[in-house]
Amino acid sequence: MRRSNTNRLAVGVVALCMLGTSRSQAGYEGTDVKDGGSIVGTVRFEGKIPKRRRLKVTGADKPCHSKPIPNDDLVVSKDGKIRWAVVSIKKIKKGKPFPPADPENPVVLNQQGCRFRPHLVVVPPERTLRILNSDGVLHNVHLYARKNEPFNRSMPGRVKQLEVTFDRAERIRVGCDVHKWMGGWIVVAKHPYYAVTGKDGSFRLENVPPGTYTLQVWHEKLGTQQREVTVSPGADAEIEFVLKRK
Amino acid sequence: MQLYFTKEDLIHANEEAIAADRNRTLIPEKLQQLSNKNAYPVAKAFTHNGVEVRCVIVVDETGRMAMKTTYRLPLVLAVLAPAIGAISLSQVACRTPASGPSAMALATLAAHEGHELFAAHCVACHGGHGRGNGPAAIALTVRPRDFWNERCRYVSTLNGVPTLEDLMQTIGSGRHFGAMPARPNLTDVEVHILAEYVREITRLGWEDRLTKEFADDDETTPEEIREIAWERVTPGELAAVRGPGLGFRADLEYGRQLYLEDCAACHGPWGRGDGLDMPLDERGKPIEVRDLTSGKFRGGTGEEEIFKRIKCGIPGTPMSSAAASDEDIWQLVRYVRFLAGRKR
Ligand SMILES: [Cu+2]
Repeated sequence: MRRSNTNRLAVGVVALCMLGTSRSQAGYEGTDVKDGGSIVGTVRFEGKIPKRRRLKVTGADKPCHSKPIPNDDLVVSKDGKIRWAVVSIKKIKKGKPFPPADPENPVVLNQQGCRFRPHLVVVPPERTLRILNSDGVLHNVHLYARKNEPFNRSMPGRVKQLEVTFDRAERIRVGCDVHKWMGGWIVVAKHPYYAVTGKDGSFRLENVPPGTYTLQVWHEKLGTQQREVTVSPGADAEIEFVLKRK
Repeated sequence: MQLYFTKEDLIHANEEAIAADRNRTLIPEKLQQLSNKNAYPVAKAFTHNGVEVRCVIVVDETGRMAMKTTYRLPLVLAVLAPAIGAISLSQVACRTPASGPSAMALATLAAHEGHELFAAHCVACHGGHGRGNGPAAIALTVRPRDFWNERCRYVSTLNGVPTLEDLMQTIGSGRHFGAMPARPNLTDVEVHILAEYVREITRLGWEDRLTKEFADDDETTPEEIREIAWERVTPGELAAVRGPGLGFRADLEYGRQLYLEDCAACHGPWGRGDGLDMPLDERGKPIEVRDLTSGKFRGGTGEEEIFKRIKCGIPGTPMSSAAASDEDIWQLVRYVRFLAGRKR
């Protein structure tokens, strides 16, 4: 993760000396996919459907009290569909390339109403993640990275945006020490076959080269689960994950 | 007042600490108990390169404790020492410049010598594996750093990794307002070796933790983990502490506005460290937000040190690196010093 171009250069040079190649692109090759198929499905919750809680908000910062802040760490619809689960293909070596970088429209993580919006973002390695502060109060962007450099940066109200990039694929928890209830996730993707479930628990991975894969779902509270899936040309392979509390 | 206590005393204290999960409330009692005894044998004594090394614990009038290492020269050297002052282990003569051996040679040396030096000077507080759990740890009000699991706090780099110089500074000169003493008796080469050794513990700690954390991820290889562990101990770009520049004029009112925007949320509107409730460190343990009016800055009270703390943040704590421009950071430095000097 880099905070400035000079810093990027400095560490980039070190990385080159060490590896000879870019570490993030290692192990995945983007090509044209012919006769690709899709993987579609849902992530369902088993057990008593948890209620959405209202988080305890403290402190005098006005934007934090403008709206009630619900928990985002376990969002399950009335019919048991899980939001904010990440579905990805494991160990895929070759497939569609990442969409081209759009410097005008990078992936955005906003701090709004003392809450991370969206709760979870997926970003390719070495691509800009733009972190915004719409609140006009101090937040500190605390990234509990393990494979990437740990990062903790002040964002006072006057600082509206900050850009970071990541070298390595991993799931990074994001917090704010000023507002302890704030929590979010940055998923740095190894390849483009990552999907985040919506309110209806559904996901869709497109343009997957035909073959048999291990598909993984991860949820911050419910852990991971894996399933085999076979993709045929032009067809939808359907799959349902069922997660329960550990 | 100087207290010496036995190894058994320290081991016992340590066992108690483990049993009580390092409950800090034990400490005043412990201190009381310890200061009721007048003198103890040395905590640890051994011979290093012909020099007798004694580790003792010193308690000052305020009840603060510190580990002190004293040396006794063998008779023959002691006799010769005044004549060949340079080799004596006196405070000044021994601080030879570290320019002699190459960095590589030092790194190799560190593996061999580091262990011995660490055993001589650090284990009483930092523990045999540098995990902050030495026998004397319980008696200390400021917990010794656990190099295995924690990040070093006082750094000059933008990526929060201490440089060797940062580590040498802490080892050689100690830290104020805690138990970490200065080591005037160590040569710069020895300090350098210890710095390398501490860095090695940190690297192995990262390797160990990452291995555990990614144990069930079959896409993470041991090679990748080793590589990451090296990255975690590789210092990044230095914070440019060039001074505020020629046109700079401290403006306390401006500084106060910046302070309110950037710092008050944690340090409180008046700098008394009362802005956050229950701040936690990297291991989820409660820590204090510094009371800036106390003037007790562990990283140092000099302008450059305060600049670095603001610019680089304090790794492993909620103290984040600043988004403010360097110019504004200098204004904050002046304002923080103003707060510190204003006490009562
Ligand atoms: Cu916040």
